[in-house]
Amino acid sequence: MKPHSPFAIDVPDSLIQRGKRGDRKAFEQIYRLFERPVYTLGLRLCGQPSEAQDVLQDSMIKVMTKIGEFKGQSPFWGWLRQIAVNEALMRLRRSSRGFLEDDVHEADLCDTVCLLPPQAAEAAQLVEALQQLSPATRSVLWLYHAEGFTHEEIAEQTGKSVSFSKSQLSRGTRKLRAILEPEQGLTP
Amino acid sequence: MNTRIELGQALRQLPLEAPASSLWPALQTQLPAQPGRGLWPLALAASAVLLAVLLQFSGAIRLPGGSDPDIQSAGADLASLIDSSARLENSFYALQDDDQSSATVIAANLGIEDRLQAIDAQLEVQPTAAEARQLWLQRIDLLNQGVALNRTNAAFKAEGDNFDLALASLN
Repeated sequence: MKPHSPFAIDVPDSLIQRGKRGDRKAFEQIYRLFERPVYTLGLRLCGQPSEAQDVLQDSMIKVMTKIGEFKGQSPFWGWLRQIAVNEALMRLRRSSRGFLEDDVHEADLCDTVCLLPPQAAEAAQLVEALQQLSPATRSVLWLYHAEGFTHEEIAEQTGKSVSFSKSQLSRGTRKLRAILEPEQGLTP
Repeated sequence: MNTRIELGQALRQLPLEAPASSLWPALQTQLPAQPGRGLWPLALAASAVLLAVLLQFSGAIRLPGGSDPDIQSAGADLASLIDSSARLENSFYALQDDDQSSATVIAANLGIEDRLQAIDAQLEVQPTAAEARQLWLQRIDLLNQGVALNRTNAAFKAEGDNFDLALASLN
């Protein structure tokens, strides 16, 4: 079962139709509904609040200027999320910290269940640990686990291979374990 | 106890982050010019259904031509109607909490805002005194409904109840 994305918000069709007609109040409502999911995605993938703000701003401008292209064949939230993911990944690719890591193949540890030490339940500790991962590793972890994308979808969006996605997921989990439980952690 | 936690679950449980301040004020300056207000049949229908059900919840809603002595009395002049409308409008917008509201409530509020705009458009074309009075009464009635809607929604939230579920249970 795919995890429940924080983007999964039902948006009334009337609101979308009003947005298509350029109604600013409708846009404001859409902004308020998705402000936090988009900002959080930007922060998790790019790492810095200023970058997350840019992702939020650029994503919302695209949503508002391209809303006429939304055909309604899939949920609106999925369409909006794809715009936000593309914006965040484009920023990463443009930056020097992007997807430059070698395509290191590691054991495919995490296609099923990945267990972390109890410290992972502490939000502050987990966020701090995530910040210590490379943007590429953190992005794959987040897109896979929090947003429910498949390795194939992540590979397509990042312009990398499926094995790259699996490798980053495995590496990220091992690193998180090592950071959160250093005395028992595996060597990253 | 040393219970291990599944990674995906731990990530999904992280609270959503928010920017230090809303970007909306800056964003709206970058939007293309508004091509004009559209029609509002769907949002209006949602608000009509919601408001009809709300009648079962709250006696605070005043129906058109209702019995508010301050507003309905023959002596109520236009200035007092405008004043009442302004006070209610402040309350209507102050009570809206989109971060805590369901899409149903947001859609209902949007429907009310559309209807307010439709009334305002009629007020702008210099109606007769009698017509203006009727329009201001409609405006006040609509705002009363909006205030009641958001107060009820807030009351349900305060109690930890789900307003939408309560509405659904009445259907």
